Formats: sequence, structure tokens, C-alpha cells
Amino acid sequence: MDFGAFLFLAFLEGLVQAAVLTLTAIGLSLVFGVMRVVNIAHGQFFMLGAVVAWWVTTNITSPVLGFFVALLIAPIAVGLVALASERFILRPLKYDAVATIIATIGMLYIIQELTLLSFGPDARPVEPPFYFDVQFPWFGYSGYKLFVIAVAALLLLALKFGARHSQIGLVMRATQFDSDTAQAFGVSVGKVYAQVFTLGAMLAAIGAVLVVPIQQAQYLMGFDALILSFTAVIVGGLGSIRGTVLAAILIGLSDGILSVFFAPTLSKIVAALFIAVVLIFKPEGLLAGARR
Amino acid sequence: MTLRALRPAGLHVVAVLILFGLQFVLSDYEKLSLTRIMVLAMYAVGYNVLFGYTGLLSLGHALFFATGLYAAGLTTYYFGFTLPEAFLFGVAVSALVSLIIGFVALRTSGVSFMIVTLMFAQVGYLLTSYFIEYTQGDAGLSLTGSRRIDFAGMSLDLGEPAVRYNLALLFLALALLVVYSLVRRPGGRVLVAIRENEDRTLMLGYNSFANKLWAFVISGTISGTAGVVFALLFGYVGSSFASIQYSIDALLYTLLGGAGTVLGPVLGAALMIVLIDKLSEFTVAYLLFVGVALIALTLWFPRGILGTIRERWAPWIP
Amino acid sequence: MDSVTCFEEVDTSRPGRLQHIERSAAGSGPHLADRPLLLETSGLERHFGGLNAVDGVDFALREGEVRAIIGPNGAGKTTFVSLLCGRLTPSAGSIQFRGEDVTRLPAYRRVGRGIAYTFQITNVFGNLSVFDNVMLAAQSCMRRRGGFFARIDRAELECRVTAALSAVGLDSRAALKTGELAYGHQRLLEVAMGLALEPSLLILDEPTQGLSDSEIDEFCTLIKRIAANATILLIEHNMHVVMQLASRITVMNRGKILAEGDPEEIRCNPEVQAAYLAA
Repeated sequence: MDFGAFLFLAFLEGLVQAAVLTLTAIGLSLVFGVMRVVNIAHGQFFMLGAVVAWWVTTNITSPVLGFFVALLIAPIAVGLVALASERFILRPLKYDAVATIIATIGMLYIIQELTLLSFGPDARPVEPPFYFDVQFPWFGYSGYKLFVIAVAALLLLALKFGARHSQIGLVMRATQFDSDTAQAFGVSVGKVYAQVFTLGAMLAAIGAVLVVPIQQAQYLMGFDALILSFTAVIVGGLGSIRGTVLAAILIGLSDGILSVFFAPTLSKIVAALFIAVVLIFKPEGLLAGARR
Repeated sequence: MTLRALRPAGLHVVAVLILFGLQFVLSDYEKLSLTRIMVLAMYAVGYNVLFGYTGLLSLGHALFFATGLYAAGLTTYYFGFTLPEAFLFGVAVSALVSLIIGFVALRTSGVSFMIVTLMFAQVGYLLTSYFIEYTQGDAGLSLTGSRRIDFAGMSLDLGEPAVRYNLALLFLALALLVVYSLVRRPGGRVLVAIRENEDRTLMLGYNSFANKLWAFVISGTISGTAGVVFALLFGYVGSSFASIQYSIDALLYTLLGGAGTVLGPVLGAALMIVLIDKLSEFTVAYLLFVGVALIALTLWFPRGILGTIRERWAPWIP
Repeated sequence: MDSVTCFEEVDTSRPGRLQHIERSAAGSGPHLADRPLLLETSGLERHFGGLNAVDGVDFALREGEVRAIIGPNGAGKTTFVSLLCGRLTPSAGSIQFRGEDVTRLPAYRRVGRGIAYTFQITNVFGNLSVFDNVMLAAQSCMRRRGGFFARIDRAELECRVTAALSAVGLDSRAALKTGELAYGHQRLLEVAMGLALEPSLLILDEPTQGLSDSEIDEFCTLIKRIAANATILLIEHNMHVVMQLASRITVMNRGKILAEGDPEEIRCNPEVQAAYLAA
């Protein structure tokens, strides 16, 4: 296989990563954009999605049915957890930036450890719903992975459409833009926040369900997901959804390349330093031109 | 000097005396536990300077503890530094690292500051893994070599629990002294002002960046010195001390005991460590308790124990 | 007001000490036009996107003046004053204070040079007591005068704070948390903090907004006393206050200076009347 083909393969792999990352990162970005809080437990919603998917598929014999039921149940389950935490933890704190970060760290530990207690420390695989290879001229590629890319792309389009053309989307955008005025217009800001927070968690869960047949489910997988999502949100510019999407695609693609050339530890060091440096020297985000 | 005026200082003197006296009623094992608690309390006392008084929430203070830890540990292990030499080196490196990190991190504030400090600490942790051939990562290094300090005609054997206990107490007391004098003086008032309203503080003519950097260096150096003391007293370094969990621990101890009070972190550290030690005998998921504690503290008890006491009954507590 | 006792033994020849507030503002001394230039701006501009909030302002202020800046809403008064004290950086132009170019000097340094600003929307330390608020200002002043390593004498610090609080009439409320103060008293606290800085130029941004009539009268008396030893720049909408206090008035409109002169000239100026004083 020549270099061009190899690059194409890396590109496809990167696209899969980007697809999952985009779904996960949008949740974080939405929450920050509309609610102005950072949810450190966001990675845990991702992890929960994977764990629930494993649980569902283990209990349903047919891989195809199991997968699609998981795709339905996991976001709902995770959404409920998110809704509860927004109602009982974030709202009483009045969304104060510092208190929210501390409280969501607490949530991180709780969710992580409860999962450890019930799920155990091992990584557990999940069967993909179907096995077929798409034959490219140079290599065969997993059809499931292409499916993941397609689903993510469709979901993104649906979100964009929903944001522009639905009542809920309008209300969310208004609240993001100016929550005081939105409130004056009768928008229940608390309800919008609950919806946004839940939606963000559900998107992360969907991303996890999609990725878990490729990657295994493990109780510690949330933290890496958090760091990557964070990178996407910060590079794209805090508060800019479009920036996050662009950044997530960029990061997903390059993460594939990075992990080929660098040891995983080193690429994590680079990622962490990168976030710090961007925040220090270009706090509005690298892609700040792509605002709104 | 009236008795009232002596209360703030007196409180701290009494606290130190109590800790001193405890060694005569504790078993060797308990002494060891309390020694460990005192060193970690010192770590939290350093953290409190930045969080409680200046109002800057660092999520990466484990970086400073680990810097001191490894600076002292690696030099004794690989270069045969004597204990006093390793100590001085560790403190100096902690101060330098705090200065450098502070200089860049303080360009941000609020949420960004938290994330930047978190990221730098993460880099530190990953570096201990990356250089695993030297640090042995999580397994860590046991510091063999001289466990005696020869000082002013005395010879101290660090194998003795009593020696370790009193050294830990000495350094904790020193840290408390530094923080106490800082917060009682004009400089400390400026830090509180920055925490309360940085904009206004600037418009009163204060260079808030310089003040914050100063606080950052003091904070990092105290926490780093705690790391140095830990390495030298317990003869062990390991990368778990650089982990994010260790950073959260500093926050937790400070919040529980009372941010913005001098003795708060000590109280919080003692309570929390004893609780967690007991819990980890029953379950591997003791972090669950930490999570619940964090949420409960932010929701209902943000001032912590000493902070609530100060607010309700004793406003003179520094 | 109570006499200021802590400075009785102090060298009276040093200018700028609070005790000078005791002297009456007789208005005697050299004529306004002969006094030295304190502040000067040249071509000062500030844009926000397409909006020229301050559009080429040449402004000169002499020592000892009480200058009022008036103008309709959106004229650029607060933006102009923010440029002067350093809270905003200019898009173009320069600012000279006592002959020194301070255009690029950060705000906290300008306070050190002698410019004090009181906020339009009160911006004090809500959780601290009135006393502690002023103490921070007084401490800054003492630090500035004594040098970086000077020891700050607690007794002198407290004395200065008490003097500033007495001057504005808040001494009985010194122990209260500022968050609990009535609005009018918070504005007085702002002035006390400004005083404790011992500035050469005191900038007051709409200080009487929200005050009752009697509070406004007391305020005018206070300012007249302060004016004996400090130059005052005042943004005001209340024309009664302006006419009482100002020795000169600058009228701004749409980011530029429309007119400048003493109160009578301004009152009679037809352009000013059309733009602002109408009805």
C-alpha cells in the first residue's frame, strides 16, 4: 500500500475520531455558550453512555437490535442523570462559575466511582451491530466506521437545522445571546438551561454509543474524552459552536496522525500544553474568526 | 496588650502546642499518621494563600508538591545530595517553578486560570510517566542512603517516629507563621482586596499582577516545601503525588476547614485524611465520598468549618 | 466637621495633606489662566467598531479648577474620562499629566501619579466594612509616598481613614459592611476613598446621581472644601450642581467638545442651548 493510500486510511480513521469528538465537544460548548459554566463531569456523561450501551447489548442477544436499542436508551439514561444534576446541583448554586467547577468535579468522582463499583475496573468490548467491509481500491475498510461518520454528520445537520428553524433552537440562541433580555421576553431561563445541559449530555452519550464498538467501555474513559472536548472548545473559541465543530474535526484528524508519530504520553503532553498556551496567549480561541 | 488582642496569635500558638503535646499520647503508628497529615496540611496551607486569600482557584497545585518532592527525592537518589542540601534545592526549585508558572498563568483569570493550572499539572504528571526510567512512575522510588541529619552537634535519625513527627510539626508551624504574618499585614489586605474586587483594587493604585504573582510564588513555595519534607521524611517519591487527584485534595482540605482562614486547611486536612483512610479500609471507591463532600461543601457549607465559626461567632479569627 | 487632630504636629509645609481641607475655599490665589497646566489631551480618540465615542478631543485642565463636563447621553463623557484615568486605551491621540506623557501608562500607575477616579456605578468592596474600604485607599497612598519598603504605621493609617470618613460624614458608619449602606452613603464612600488617595486630580463620574436634594446640598459643600486643595473634574447632569460648583464648564456632544467657558458663557451659548439645555 503506497503512501497516498496510507494517508487516506489515516484520514478515514481521523474522520471517525472527529465524528465522535464533534458530538461530545458540542455538548460542552453548548453548555458553556448558553450557561457560561464549565462542566468538568462532561466526560463522565460520555463514559456513562458507553457503559449503558455495553449493558444493553449484553442483555439483548441480537447485536443489531442491541445496538439500536442502546442508541435509544443510553442518551435517555444519561440525559436523566444530567437533568437531575442540573436541577439539584447546578441550579441551587446559581450557576456560579467557581462553585460549578468544584461541584462538577464532585460529580465526576461520584459518577466515576459508582461506575467502578457496578461495572468494575476492566475494559469491556461491545459487538458492532454489523460487520461488512467497504472495499476501496487499496484496502478494505470497516463499514461500521463509515456508518459512524455518516450518523454523526446527519446528527450535526439536524442540530444545525434545529437551531436555525425550531422554536427551541431560537429560544436557546436568544438565551445564549442575552439571558436577561430573553427572560424579559418570558423565556424561562431555568428551563432552557435544563434543556441545554441535558442535550449536551445526550449528544456525548450518543457519541459514546457510536464509538464503543470500536473502542472498549472502561470506567476511566471519561477523562480523556473531557480533555479532547476541552481542546476542541478552547481552540474553536469558548462559546462558538461553529468553532468547536471545526476544531473538533481538526483535532480528530490530527489526533490520528499524532498517535502514529508520537507515543501516547507525549501526545497527551502536547495536547495539555497546547490548551494552556492557547488560553494564555489567545484566550478568545484559535479560530476566533469563526464566531457565531 | 489586652488578652483580646492576643487572641488571634494565641489561637495558633495553642494549636501548635496541642500538636506538640499529642506526640506523648500517641502510639508510633498514630504518630506516623499524624506526621503524614501535618505534611499534607502544610501543602494545603500553601494552597490556601492563593485560593482562600487571593481568590484564585488553582486546579493544579499538585504540580508544586510534586516539584518539591521530585527535586529533593531525585537529587538524593541519583546525586547523593545530603538531606539539608536536598531540602534547600527542593525549596529553591519550587520557588522558581512557581515564579515561571505564575508569570504565564496569571495572564488568565477565572475559569481560564483554573484550566491552565489544571493543564500544567497534567503536563507535570505526564512527564513523570514519560521519564519513567528515572522516576519509576507510579511505583516510585524508595530513597535509600543516609537517613541521618547531623546538625549543630546533634544527630537526628529520621527512622525515629518522634524525630519525623517534630520535623513535620516544625515545618507546618513555620508555614503557619509565614501565612499568619502575611495576612495580618498590609500586603495581605491587598490580596483580600484583589479577591473581593480586582477592578477596584487596580483603580486604587495597586499593581494587581505583581501582588498576585507574589501570592502565587509564596503559595507554590510552601506547597513545594511540603513536597520536599514529604520526600525526605518518608523516603519515597511516586507519580501519584502529581496526579489531578492530589490537586483536588488541596482544594478539598481547604474548603472543608475554611478557605481564607489560617488554620482552616490544617483542620480540613486532618479530618478528611482520617475519614478517607477509614473509608478505604471498606471500599476501593472512596473517591465517591470525596465527590459527595465536594458537592455538599459547595452547596451548603462554602465557608468551611472555621469560616462558618468565624462568621457566626468569632470574627477575630484570622 | 470635627477637627483633624492627628496631623497637628506634622510639618504643615507639605502640600496635599488632609488637614488642608480645614482651610476655607476662599477662591483666593492666582487667576485661573495663570495656574500651571495639570492635564492636557491632544487629538484624543476612541472608537468602538464603527462608533467614534471620543472623536478628537483637545482638552486642557489647570491646577485648582473645578471643571464640569456636561453633555447629552452618549456624548462620550464617561468614555473620555475612562481614557484619562486609564481604564480604556485611546485609539489615537495623547494625554499629558503634569507634563508627562501618560497615554500608555496603565491605570494603576496613573493612580500613583495622582489621578483618582470614582465610579459612576458604585464599585466598592461590598463584603468589607466602610473602614476597611477606605483603609485600602489610604494604604495605597502611604505606600506611594513612603516607597515600596516603607513600614506602614498602623496608627497613622487609621488616622487617615478616620479623617477621610469624617470629611464626608461617614465616621459613624465606619463599622458597617458597605453592602448594607444606603445608596447615597455608598456614593459618599466612593468620595472618601478618592480623598484618602490624596490625589492631585479627583475625577467624579455623576456623583450626585440618585441622591436626595439634601444629600446633594451636603455633597456640594463637601466638594467645595475638597476643591481648596485638589483639582476636580466632574461629570454631571444636574445643572444646579454644575452651576454651584464649576469654575469652568466643558460641553461635549457626539464625542467632540462643543463649547468651553465659564458658567455664564455656557448658559448663554445658543449652540449649547440647542443641543442640551433646551427646555
